[in-house]
Amino acid sequence: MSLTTVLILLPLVGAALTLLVPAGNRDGARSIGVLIALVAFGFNIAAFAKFDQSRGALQLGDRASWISDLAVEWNVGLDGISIWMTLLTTGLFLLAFIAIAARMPDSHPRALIALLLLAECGLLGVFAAGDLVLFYIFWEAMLVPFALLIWMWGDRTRGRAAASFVIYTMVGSLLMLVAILSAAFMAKGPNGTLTFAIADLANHEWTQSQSTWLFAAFALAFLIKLPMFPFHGWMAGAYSSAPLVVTALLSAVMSKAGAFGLLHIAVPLFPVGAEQLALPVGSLAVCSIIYGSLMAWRAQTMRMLVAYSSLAHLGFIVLGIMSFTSIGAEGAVLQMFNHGVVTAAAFAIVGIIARAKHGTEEMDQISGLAKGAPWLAGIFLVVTMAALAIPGSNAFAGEFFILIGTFERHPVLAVLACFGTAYAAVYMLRLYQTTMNGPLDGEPKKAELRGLDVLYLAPLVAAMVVVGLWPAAVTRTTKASVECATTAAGSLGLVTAEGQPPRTAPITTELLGCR
Amino acid sequence: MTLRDYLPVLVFFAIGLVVGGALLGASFLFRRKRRNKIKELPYESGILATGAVRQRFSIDFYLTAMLFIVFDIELAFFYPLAVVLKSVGVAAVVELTLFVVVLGAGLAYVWRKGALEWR
Amino acid sequence: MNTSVLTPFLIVSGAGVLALLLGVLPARRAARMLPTATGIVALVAAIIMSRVQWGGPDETALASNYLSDRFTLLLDSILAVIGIAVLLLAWRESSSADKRGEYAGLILLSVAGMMLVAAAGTTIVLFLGIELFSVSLYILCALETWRSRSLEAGLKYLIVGAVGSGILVYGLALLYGATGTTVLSEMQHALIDGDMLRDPLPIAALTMIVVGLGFKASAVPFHMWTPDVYDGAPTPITAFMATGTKVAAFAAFIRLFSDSLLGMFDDWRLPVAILAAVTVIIGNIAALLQPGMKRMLAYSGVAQAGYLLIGIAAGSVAGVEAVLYYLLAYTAMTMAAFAVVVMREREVLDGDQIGALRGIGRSRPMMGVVLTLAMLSLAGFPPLAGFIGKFMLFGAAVDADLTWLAIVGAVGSMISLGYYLKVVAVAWQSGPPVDDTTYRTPRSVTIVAVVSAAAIVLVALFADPLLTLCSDAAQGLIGTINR
Repeated sequence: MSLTTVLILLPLVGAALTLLVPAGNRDGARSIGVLIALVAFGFNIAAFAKFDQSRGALQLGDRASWISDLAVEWNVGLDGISIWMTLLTTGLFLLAFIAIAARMPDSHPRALIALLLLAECGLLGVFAAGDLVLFYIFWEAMLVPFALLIWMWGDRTRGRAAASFVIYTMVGSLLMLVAILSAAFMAKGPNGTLTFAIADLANHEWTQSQSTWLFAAFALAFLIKLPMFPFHGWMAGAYSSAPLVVTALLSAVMSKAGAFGLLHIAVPLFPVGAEQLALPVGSLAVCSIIYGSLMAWRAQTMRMLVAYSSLAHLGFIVLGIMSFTSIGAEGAVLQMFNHGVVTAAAFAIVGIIARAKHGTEEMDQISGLAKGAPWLAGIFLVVTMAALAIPGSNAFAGEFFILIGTFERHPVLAVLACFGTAYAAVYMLRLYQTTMNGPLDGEPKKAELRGLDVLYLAPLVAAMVVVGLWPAAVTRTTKASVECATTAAGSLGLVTAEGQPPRTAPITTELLGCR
Repeated sequence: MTLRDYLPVLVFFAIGLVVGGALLGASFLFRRKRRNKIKELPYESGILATGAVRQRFSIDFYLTAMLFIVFDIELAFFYPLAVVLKSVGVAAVVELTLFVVVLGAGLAYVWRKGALEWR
Repeated sequence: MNTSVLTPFLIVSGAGVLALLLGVLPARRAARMLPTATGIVALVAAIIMSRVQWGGPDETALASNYLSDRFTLLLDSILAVIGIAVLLLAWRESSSADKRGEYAGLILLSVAGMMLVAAAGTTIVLFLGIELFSVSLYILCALETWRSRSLEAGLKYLIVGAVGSGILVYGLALLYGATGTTVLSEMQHALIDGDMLRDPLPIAALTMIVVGLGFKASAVPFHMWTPDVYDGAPTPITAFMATGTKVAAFAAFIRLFSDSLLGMFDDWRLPVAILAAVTVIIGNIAALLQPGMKRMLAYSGVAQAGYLLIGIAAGSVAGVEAVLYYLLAYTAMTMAAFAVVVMREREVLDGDQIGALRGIGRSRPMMGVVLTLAMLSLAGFPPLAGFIGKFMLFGAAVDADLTWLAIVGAVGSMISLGYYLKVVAVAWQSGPPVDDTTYRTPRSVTIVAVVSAAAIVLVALFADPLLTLCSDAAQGLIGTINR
């Protein structure tokens, strides 16, 4: 059993362990949660230490036949992109478990921990899957616990929120299932061998229309999951209804599954189709940036402000991926990590403020907290700067890379996207100023950080600072894998730009150690 | 055999329909039409019908009738077997014995359930 | 000829007669359990016998009327397991107090009829099997004679079932007219030799057979009887109809279409595909609107029949294999769901309504988990059995150039989320408990529920051995599928 397999299965074992805890035993449940998350994070660090940065292929994995009759394999492993995504997942889940352990809800403590662990298992599986069926299984497997988390611990509108979350996502993913089957059987041909391994399918040459349709089906599923304008119908309900920790995980970690799928599966498998649809998807990304920024500017509650700002940031990430340049895609991966960290921190601060205000998240009822809580205000300022991508912050490098990459391919989109960075300053400063500055009402000291708050905010801020000063920490690991993912699609576009007919065959990527 | 081979059957049906229809139609067209009250009674020369036709029968009639049919069919199997017993051999006897045993089980069941008693 | 291959069938049918007789013994304490016990012993024996014969060569018995190939043996085992589960569900059912013999005996005879369908080597035996299980089911539906709904269900099923049988037998007769043989494995040659492949006669026969079997499998538009009959029949019998009838009807479909009439693939492929598509869509939409659990499961069964027809329409070994696996998965999921309904019905008034399941996750966590697993699997969530089954069915469709049908299936699955997840939501809803928690679920029902739920998970996680069985059975079909 490899490190990756252990990493994926560990939360599953943890979820099973919670069944041993007597019902209603909150201490037992929470200690299992924190312990398992801690061990998983430890394993992840160990995997990172053993990781070979020069290779773009999956490593530290297993490949074993599972359902041999269907050619479904237990094929897991980590590449440069997924190692950072798993680190983000295990790290943020660990912080989430700490935050939950601090304020355990009264109802169903066991189920809460078990569902969170199942969700973690699903996400890790998505990031580490090397087989399309396995990917689909984990993709769906994370949906159920997240839906139940919204449904069991959400607020009044949770029923609708959970339902629309499930229905939106399933619409995308069931079409993806058909696309997975079609891709595998088309690649198999009349007498070939059936395989669902991503690495094997990437060698197949699809016709242009096949590639376009398959890319469209996959991209739809991923854009819904992100979400991306105009598929964000489930977002407002789910984000506002779920408990804050779950919202933070949805936004910081689960949305990365969509971006990861786009970069890891849709683009490398169907480069021709990706090239065909680059402009439409890129335009949607720009729409998301502008729409998300405007909605964040007008948001009523702190939570929805962060949620819509995240919609805008996800637009940047998709834009970077769809540039098919290695700098743009590297920026996207960097930004995926940054966005996870920054959003998690932002939601954590929203939670701290809401706690001080007895659950109120309405922006017009909160002001002047900085006077009584200077530490909170300080950290909040750091997070705000990171979110609006001020030079020197971690998000600056990411957005800058993305804009350079996009400018090479779609200058108009890049210019339009620049508006997004300007808007970010408007809404993030509005969030900071209304809540922190202005006249104080209520008890002054109540909002200040407590011991546990520091425990889960400090690592986030530390990560922000480190990546802000040294973005290469991330990009040097991801470089090889990102090039593997985008070279095929990128080369197509460049050839057409020179006026030659587009090649149907992706150029060989074997030189980069991708297979 | 193709569908075409069944053409004679179709012709047979057609002739039947045409002849029957022609006879009935002819009698309808050429008969003498003279109506009176007596002629339109259900039984022109019989006893006048009284009371409703839809009477209720005891369910026992049906039960008995069904049981009769079941055991009657037994006979329908026995007779042909008796005729060809020599050529078919012992296997047929075994099979029919099985059949009789099942039927006997049925009889025992019906008996215990009280279906043979007239209520 | 080798008569010993008949043993699974003979054991079950013999035990059926015996159970009927045991039921009319004077009702002493010990004698009360005898019919059911006989049934379970006989079914276990049948499973063992079919397991023993598994490795052996294909045999025919009774002058090629009875085929004993791996397909038969696999389905015999599935049907026997269904029979055991239903007998356990019906244990201590209130109506079984004075009808112990009828319950066990008719279930056994019905299982025997289904086994006969699976083993049919000629159209005559096929029809005989269908009638044997149908007639037994007509009676079983109406077994709760004091309940007018049950009588209504029996009568409706009788009339509609007779219509279906009539059409089916007419189709089989036309097929005989076209081929001059009743032996399934000879039909292909007869059709080719007589140059009948494009003739209207076998096509008419084909149409009628599809309609007739459509009634039995409750495919749209021949499904009208399903909700009423499922709703009215005693719940264990509903579970039996939902699983057993479906298995038998698809056994007939496979024997006829995927095997002996495969030469006419071009003629029946599109109609069956359209039938599948309509069944999936209509079944799922209608299920959305049902307030009753049994009616919902009835329509869900209709939709599942549509998924299964996708595998038939693929017309390949992979399609048959997928149908066999999905039948297994479907049996486990449906049995688990019905076990929960059986339990709920006994402890709550109107227990077959979806609302009656409110809070079952709190008051009876085990049943809540079982129900959740069943619903998620029916909806096709990975990594449960229903997902693997649908995956195979859609894969077979895509492989057979029926990608549009796979998309229709996927759309159907999306619609189905609406009602399957509603049940899950209701089950874990908080609120005042609707049940009397002092009631103790009979152990037999719990066993069925837990074993089915475990099967849903295990059949998916360790699918390989089972898929080997299914693919052996699919490849072992005697006729022409392996051209």
